[in-house]
Formats: sequence, structure tokens, C-alpha cells
Amino acid sequence: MVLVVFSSLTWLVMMLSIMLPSVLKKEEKAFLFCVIVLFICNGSWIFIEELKFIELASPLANYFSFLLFRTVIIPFSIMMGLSVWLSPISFFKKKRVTIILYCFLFLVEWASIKLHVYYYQKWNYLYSMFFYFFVQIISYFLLRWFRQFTCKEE
Amino acid sequence: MVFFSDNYLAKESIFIYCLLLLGFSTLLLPKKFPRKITFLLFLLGYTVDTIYDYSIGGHKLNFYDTFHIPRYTLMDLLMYLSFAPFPYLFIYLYEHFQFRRYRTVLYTIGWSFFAVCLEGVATYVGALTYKNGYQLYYSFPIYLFTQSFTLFYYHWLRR
Repeated sequence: MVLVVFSSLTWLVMMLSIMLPSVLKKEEKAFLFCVIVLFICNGSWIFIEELKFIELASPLANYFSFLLFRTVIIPFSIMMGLSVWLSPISFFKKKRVTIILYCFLFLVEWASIKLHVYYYQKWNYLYSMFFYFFVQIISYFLLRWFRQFTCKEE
Repeated sequence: MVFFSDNYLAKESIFIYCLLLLGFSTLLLPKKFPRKITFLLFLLGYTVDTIYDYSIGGHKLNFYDTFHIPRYTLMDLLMYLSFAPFPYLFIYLYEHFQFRRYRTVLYTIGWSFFAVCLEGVATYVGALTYKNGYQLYYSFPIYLFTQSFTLFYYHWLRR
């Protein structure tokens, strides 16, 4: 059940990311994906294995769901959020889309707890949302740097 | 966390320094790609290594330890970094020798053998320690998949 839910969500996020119009070039998408994965993987490792704030469930299906969530669903969702931030639409629309995005991430996080993908020890939903938002902000500034870096050459 | 408690002069650490030095010296080769492609290939190497370490090298599967300890240390970051130049070198030689069609398949298989040999050396010096029944040759299909993905990624970027 858990793997069905998370693989379906992975498919949904990937399809939305491919189908929705984006202002990002493919090099920028590749850069963002790598950067977000690096932050999420290293951050998660520290929170889970070093600080023991979160405990992973043992069954392999739950573990693969966890991997799909951290290495595909979150990076693609944050990338879509950044694409909206950089698109020429009103601030109100950007705010609305960002709220929808974080509601979606909150729901997936909630599903992870309810379907026993992992258990919070000294952690809560708010910390997770802060962590994802922090990664989005950092990625935004790194993307600006990457644009300057590639612009110089062009 | 034990971020700074490594033995920085052990033979496994020296192996990683040599790998880093040799890997990053590939940047001194005559330029073949735009700067952004070079950068993205290096970033891919770093990211792929992180993903493998995160998925099969730790948490529940936990097939190997780096530097004899299952903890997150500065040497782990250096080890990820030492893998960063490999996609660049792989694509550099691919373009230099103009491998196409069936020669691409042979080239990918050859690189995967080379990668397994290098991993064998890393295991021998103690930079990697296998656990939970993992064997060196299990890495061969992983490298085949990774090299093929690198080729696909490169062609997607250049298209």
C-alpha cells in the first residue's frame, strides 16, 4: 500500500514538472535538481542517523517510499516552486502557489507518518516545512549564482 | 556527530587525496565543453555518489561503511567530491575518441570494469568496508547503469 501511494505521488510530481510551463532552462533544472538532492540527502542524514530526530521504519517497501519522497518528490516539488517564483506573474499568485505547494508537501509528510514510513522522535511537521523552505531559499540564491556563472560565458 | 574525528593521514585518506588530485587535474586538459557543461558533469558525479551513499550505503540497507565508521564525517564529503570528476572524464574521452553506436556500449562496459577495479583498490586500502553480504562485483551493474545515465544526461544537455 505504502509503495503504491508513494510511487503514484512520484509519478504525479514528475508529470506535473514535465507538463507545466517552466521558465527554467534545462541546465538550470539539472543544476537545481542536483543542489536540492544534495541538501535534502545530507540534511536528512544528519537529522536521521546522527541526531536521531527521526526513526525510519524497517520494511523495505517503507524504506523505498522514503527514498522516493526524499530524492524525487521533494526535489521536483521545490523545483516547481522555484519556477513559479521566477515566472513573471503577480506576487499574490506566487504566494498562493507557494502555499499550495507547502500544503502538498505537508500532506505527503503526514502520509509518511500515517503509513509508517518514519516516526518522529524529536521532530515535528513544522520543522520539516522549515527545512524544505530553507532548502528552497538556498537553492534560489544558488540558482542566481549559476545564472551569473553561465551568463559570463555566453 | 563525529565530523572532525578522522585519521587524516591514514592510507585510506591518502588514497582519497590522490583521487581528488588526479580527478581535478582533468580540468587542465584542453577545453572541450562550455563551462556550464563541465560544471554540471562535476555536479552530477558528486550528486550520484551522494544518492548511492544515502540509499544503499546507509539507513536500512547499509551495504558499506566509508572509513570503517558508519558516521557522517568530513572525509565522507571529500570522498563524494573525489567521485565528482569521473563523469567529466568519462564524457571527455567519449568525445575525444568519438565513440558512437556499438563502440559506445563497449566503452561503457570498459569504464564499468575500470570503476569496479578502482572500487576494489578503495576496499583494499580501507576507504570502503562492505557489510550485510555485499560483494564487489554487485557494483558492476550499478556502474553500467550510472555510466549509461551519464551519457543520456550529456546528450540531453547538449540537445
